[in-house]
Amino acid sequence: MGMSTQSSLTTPSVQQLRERCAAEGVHPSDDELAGVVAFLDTILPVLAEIEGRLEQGDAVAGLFLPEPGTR
Amino acid sequence: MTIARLAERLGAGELSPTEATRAYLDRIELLDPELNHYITVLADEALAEAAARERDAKGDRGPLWGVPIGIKDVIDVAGAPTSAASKVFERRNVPRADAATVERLRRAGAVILGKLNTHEFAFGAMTTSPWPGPARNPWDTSRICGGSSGGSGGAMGADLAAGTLGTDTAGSIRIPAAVCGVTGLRPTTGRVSNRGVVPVSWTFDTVGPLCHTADDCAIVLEAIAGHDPGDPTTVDAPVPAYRAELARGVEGLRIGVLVERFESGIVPGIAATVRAAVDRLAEAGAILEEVRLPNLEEATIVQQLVMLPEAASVHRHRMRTQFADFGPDVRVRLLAGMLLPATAYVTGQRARRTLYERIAPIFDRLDALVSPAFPIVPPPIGETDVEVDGVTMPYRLSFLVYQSPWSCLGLPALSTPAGFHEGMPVSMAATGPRLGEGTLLRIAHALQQVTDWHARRPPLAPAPSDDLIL
Repeated sequence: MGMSTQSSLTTPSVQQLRERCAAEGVHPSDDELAGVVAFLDTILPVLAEIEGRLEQGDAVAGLFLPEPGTR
Repeated sequence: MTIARLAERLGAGELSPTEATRAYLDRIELLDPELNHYITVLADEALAEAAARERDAKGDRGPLWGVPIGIKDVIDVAGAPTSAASKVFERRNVPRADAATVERLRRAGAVILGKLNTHEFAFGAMTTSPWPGPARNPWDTSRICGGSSGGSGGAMGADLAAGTLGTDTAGSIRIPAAVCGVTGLRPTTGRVSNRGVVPVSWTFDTVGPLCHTADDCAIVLEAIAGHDPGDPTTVDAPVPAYRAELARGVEGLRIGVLVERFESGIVPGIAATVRAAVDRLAEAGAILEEVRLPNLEEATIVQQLVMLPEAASVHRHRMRTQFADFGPDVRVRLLAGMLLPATAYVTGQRARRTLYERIAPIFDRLDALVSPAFPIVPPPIGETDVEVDGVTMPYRLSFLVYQSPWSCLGLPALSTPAGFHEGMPVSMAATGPRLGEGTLLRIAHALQQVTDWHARRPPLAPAPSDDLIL
């Protein structure tokens, strides 16, 4: 899978994350925000790949639709 | 003792519900101060309920009549605190009504013993919450029980209940079942009501049984499954007679062996042990086929894209008002959910659908897939990194691909004992098509007919009334 680079999917800095948290009324420590950076470093590259692939397709954003006879 | 055997003894009058309940309470009193599987023991309530069962007994009593059951402490039991193993709630959150599953267990005659330890808010896989402290694995009390239903798995392994309920969002029934040496079933999403359950993630949460055997899981599932008008996500489909189906065995079943899960990312001795168990299925008449599914790694991330924001949404208000009361690991996960881009959630749901459309058709030609249930020996309490294949990694990343893809796709999945490695239980996983729980139970039951891994017990101190229930 080719990796697309999108600025919106670059992991934010701890300072940027702190500002976003403050806007939400949440006040984590720097250690906690460093933990979030580790999470996002794992997730965001794969998210970028998936977004690149889905843009070209027609996958809908619905949840599972019931299969015949199951609802 | 299994629920099936206990039911025989209760039905024959060899033992009363009160005697059975008291015997489990004796074991809890003796062993749980160290094991820490229970957050709340409902001793007086359970004895009163057992006495009521005896008073009201008439006609067909059913296999759960008088059977003591433990409930994970994110599932409501009327009048008892639902703590979710969190300082955020502690003992202040007392529901007035039973969860749908507890309601159904009581209707089937079960006796509710108490509330079982869990990873905080069922949002993690260690069951080592700062409050009320770690659940200890009965096979080695220095090690974790897994999670999030760690108290449910541990209490089964230690015979502190005849059966337990857990919840599974990304592996939380299957992981503790695997590392505590018991059978655990995550039903199809929507098969069992979530009414009265503290949510992790509405899209994935599922209540299910942890018991000694597949037969016992079938008994509990028959009692708790089915449409609930109080939970609009439940499937309105008939509940099969799972237990009656077990005797059909695995003769002629086509079972895919997920070879990638045996090849890397796993302790080699665990892989070899589970592979030997899979071969026992072939001896019992199953037709094995080696299968590769390269999309499963991606499914673990897709599951996170949906689960993390949903969990952050569940706790949004408490993040603002009680943030310091959450444990450190849960704080980080909740923040990650809050800080993901808003589009991540929608992308996750779209990707989930495409994954389902790519992977689910394999069940047009196969009845089930099997693999190891858990790739490592559960780590000592307090250790957050593990070594797999010579690579050190965070514990939470070591097992994701073994469980969360099936949660992501809403499919049923089960863990059943398959041997031991370094003195700790090793388990086999099976997964199948939507509403295919019956086939998974048949596979586990067939394995349990030709092995005795599920019947082994950890070396724990004896309690006074053990002869009644062990």
